[in-house]
Amino acid sequence: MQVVTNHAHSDTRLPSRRLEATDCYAGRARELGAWIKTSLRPDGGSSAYYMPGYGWVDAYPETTGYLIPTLLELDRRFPGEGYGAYAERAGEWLLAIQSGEGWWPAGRWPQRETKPSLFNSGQILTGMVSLFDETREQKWIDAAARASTWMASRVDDTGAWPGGDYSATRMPSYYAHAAAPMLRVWEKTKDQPVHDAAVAVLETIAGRRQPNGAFADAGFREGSAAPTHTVAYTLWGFLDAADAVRASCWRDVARPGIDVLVRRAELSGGSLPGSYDEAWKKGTSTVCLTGNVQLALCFLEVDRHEPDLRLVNAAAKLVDFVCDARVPGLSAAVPGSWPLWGPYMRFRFPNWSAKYACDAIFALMDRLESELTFS
Amino acid sequence: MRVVVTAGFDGSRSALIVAETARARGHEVLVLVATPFRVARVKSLIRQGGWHALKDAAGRLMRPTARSGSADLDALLPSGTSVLPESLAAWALALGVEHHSVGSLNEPGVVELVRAWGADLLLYNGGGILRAPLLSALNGPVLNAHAGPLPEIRGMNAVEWSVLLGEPTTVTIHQIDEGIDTGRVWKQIPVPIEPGDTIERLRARAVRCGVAGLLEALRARESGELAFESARPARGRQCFVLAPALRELLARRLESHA
Repeated sequence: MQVVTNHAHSDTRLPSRRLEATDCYAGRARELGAWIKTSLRPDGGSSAYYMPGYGWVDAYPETTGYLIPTLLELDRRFPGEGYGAYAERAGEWLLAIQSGEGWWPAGRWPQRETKPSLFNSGQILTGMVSLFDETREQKWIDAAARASTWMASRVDDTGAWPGGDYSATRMPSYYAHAAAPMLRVWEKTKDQPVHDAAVAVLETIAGRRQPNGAFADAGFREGSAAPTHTVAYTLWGFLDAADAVRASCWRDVARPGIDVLVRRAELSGGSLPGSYDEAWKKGTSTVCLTGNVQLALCFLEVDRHEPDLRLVNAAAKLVDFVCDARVPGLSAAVPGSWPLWGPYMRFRFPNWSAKYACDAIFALMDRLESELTFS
Repeated sequence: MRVVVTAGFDGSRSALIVAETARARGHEVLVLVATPFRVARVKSLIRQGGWHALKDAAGRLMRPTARSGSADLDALLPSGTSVLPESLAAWALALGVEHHSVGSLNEPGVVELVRAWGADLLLYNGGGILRAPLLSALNGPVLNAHAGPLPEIRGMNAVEWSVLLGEPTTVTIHQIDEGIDTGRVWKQIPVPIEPGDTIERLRARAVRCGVAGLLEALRARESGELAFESARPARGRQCFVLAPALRELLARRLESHA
């Protein structure tokens, strides 16, 4: 996860003194970090989700992988609380369960029968690259290279992965979020086939963008409205790719959809409907909280390249809604949906909701503070 | 001339001043007040700004009149004007002016009323977004005082966004068309920021400039000098109500003007 620092506002920056808002956000992030810690198992994996009355379920390799950059960021922001060690333990656990071919498995762990997962392997790449950046230890980038080589080998002549993890024949558009991390690996290894395979997938998905900015087939099931979680995955894939290869054309692919969602976020006051079909018709009135904060990250990423406080405003409303969606007795956690009975991760508290909420809060804090100067 | 004056609530001082000035200048006036208490409007307010926005709006309505800086506004009245009542309804009743409190300015009954009345000009002082049927029901322009420079700053909290985005604080007198603040511009009026300004003081100054601008437009319409610039395409993203963190940033920016 990129820390937002690239803002040149020397003409308008304000004198010192933190904003009260950023102090509030920091407090919420600290709570989220403490909650995330409770998801971490002794072997290093992070549990997929918490269920009231049951507790945390088994570990989930996919989200343990992309939790790692968040743990590293928590370590930077709240030093001395052990988040760095948790990040490395999570990485070691993932190395231990990586297959000989390089892929990581679908589903939770342990499992009776392991099955390779393209998408999940892509998410774990993010963690491996972050650990390599942090420690410069070769084992992390080697693991990432093995996985991304395996992923590249599965791309067919049409520029698609023919089968996803939930469908034997279909590659959903949110697999942009698996292709982009391959480019992050390529940034380090310069493995051209990995680059070319990732670009082929992204081009295929870019071809599915409708004139209205929506992507065809962005949901879990073909023909169904896509939760904002996977809509954001799709958009972020292109934004991340743009940053990895320094090519704004990928950001341009995501921009029309982002512009639609900025407006929707504002008109809804932050309670963005949790799913949309390809005509941008909402599929539910409940909010997918993970999607909210993921989209906030998308808005802030566009802002990072083209500063516009109106994007920050929309992001803040999405983040504020999630920060305020608290359940008595579990007030640090972020549920999947709001109200809790919404269709996305109904009555469950995913580890990835907390992760993305943390990421969005940090990005928002940095952006707001970039408008200030500190003496 | 037949002049329609709209308002978003019956205690709107700025609407009252516009209506009284139009009446005092010899025009027939029709007042249309969109009630703030419709379910749809309340829901929209909550969606935009949360429960706090509803509480704030209710607080403004419950005050005797929504009179921030009313002395400043009253100074715009023609000299010799008697003390005005608190509400548009009371004023209209006292003077025999036609006044309607409606659910929405876009209701078919309202559109027909305006058409049948033969309105030559509409001076907008609140009451929600105006749709095409109402806009085409008049024989003349529909004018608004927008609290920001156009086409740069469209939408809500315009004076606030002008400060945040580094645009000159300006009131724009423009025609209302079917877009959001996209109508042709008549005049742009600078709104100075003064040392010690708070958000509220700056907004009040923008409101005063807006009322003054509408009254100037009324006089220009009387003398046939109301000429509009060519339409300019909308620029940039639409602005919306400030999130609390951005509101705090704005307050800090105003402090730095001291």
